[in-house]
Amino acid sequence: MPDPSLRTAALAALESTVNTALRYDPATRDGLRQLPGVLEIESTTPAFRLYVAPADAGVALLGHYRGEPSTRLRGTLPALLALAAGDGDSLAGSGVDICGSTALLNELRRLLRQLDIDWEEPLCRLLGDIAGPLAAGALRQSFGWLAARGANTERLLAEYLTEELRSLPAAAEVRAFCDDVDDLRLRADRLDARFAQLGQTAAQAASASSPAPQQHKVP
Amino acid sequence: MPPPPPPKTHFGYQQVDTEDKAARVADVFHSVAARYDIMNDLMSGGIHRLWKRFSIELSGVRPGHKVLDIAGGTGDLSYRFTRLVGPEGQVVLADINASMLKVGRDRLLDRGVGGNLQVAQADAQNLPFPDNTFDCISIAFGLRNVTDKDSALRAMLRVLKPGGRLLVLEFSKPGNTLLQKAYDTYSFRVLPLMGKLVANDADSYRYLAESIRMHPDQETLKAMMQAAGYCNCEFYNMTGGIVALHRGIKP
Repeated sequence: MPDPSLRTAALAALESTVNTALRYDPATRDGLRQLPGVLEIESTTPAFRLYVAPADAGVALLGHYRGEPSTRLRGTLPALLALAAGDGDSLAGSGVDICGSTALLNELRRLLRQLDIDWEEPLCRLLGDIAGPLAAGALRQSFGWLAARGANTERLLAEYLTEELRSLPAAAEVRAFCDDVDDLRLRADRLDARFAQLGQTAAQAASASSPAPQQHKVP
Repeated sequence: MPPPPPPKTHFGYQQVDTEDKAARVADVFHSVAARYDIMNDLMSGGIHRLWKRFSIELSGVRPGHKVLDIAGGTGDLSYRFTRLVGPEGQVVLADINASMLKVGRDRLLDRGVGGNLQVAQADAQNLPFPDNTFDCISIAFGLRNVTDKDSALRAMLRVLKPGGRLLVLEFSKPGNTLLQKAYDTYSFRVLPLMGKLVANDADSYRYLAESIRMHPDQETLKAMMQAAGYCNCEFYNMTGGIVALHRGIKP
């Protein structure tokens, strides 16, 4: 186990970064303050554990928590990060185990998705009320252009890979395939249960009939 | 026949009469109170905040709890405890030294703490509280200045509720000999110099370094806590053992 002061330093730095950013998004901060419980995140590789709890300044990131967390997440660090970054609605296939209430997790992910940090305010504080908005406007425009190009590229690339090269299946095909797999798994489970039940009935029948002849031999 | 010599105890590396130790410790803290926080940041490089943060995490204090912060001094831990216990809880900031307590009380008032905080000038060996009162007691960098540590541990056990936790955050013995060497040089050469330059008081900071060397090491303090009647005693070394956090639970 690493020295507690190092781990505490890392968590304190992360927490203060998060809370500083949250100062410029008061809606998300209020949402985080009212989180219905404590989330435990356990990474298996590298092995560490942290707790996300609501706090006055937004969130508290703790290395120890002596209560019962309402939700536990467990997985490898890449899987956990992918879960935080992704916008999928299900944990299936993400490699992350969840235990406890999912309401807290859904709320947290909803808040993360809505995160809308007002970069203009710190800029205005730094540059004043005239230069601040101008600089922010220029920044926003360039970011908007980049984001639009980025989204466009992503869409074109996806279309090229699925439609032109046919090297990747389309989303609808993947969904249909996953549905089929789920269906098959369900049927297999049912068959398994059926076999188990039949086996049980057979065993019961055998045990009901086998002791009887022995009893006949007693007299 | 001459009267028996008065019992002696240590004050840094000096031997003093047991009765005098409290007064001499009080002198040290009267003299450092005003610059205590600046010196803490300077001497530890700010790491004392991390030690305290870790202690708070391990305290397990929750809304509605009653917490006693002994030797709370300038109120660092008390401030965080008041946030944790919420308006229904209660925090008592206690210190034997009036100067430190005044600095702490003023600082907490300035930071908007009130309602769930009380301030008490109290001696850790004779705590003026009823039995089974507190869910958690913390004593951070205070136990080594107490004259009779065993009696202080027993007094704290008395006022803890059954199941309550005692947290002792205190300087301890580094595990690594190289670190020990560096640390010795630092505390006997650099600290008194810093004390002289910043607080114009080299003697008080020499006492600080000496009293740390006279304080029992991790295992000894753990044994003392067990002897006083705490159970599930454990300790966490921080920063290579320069500081250790001991935790015990009242059965």
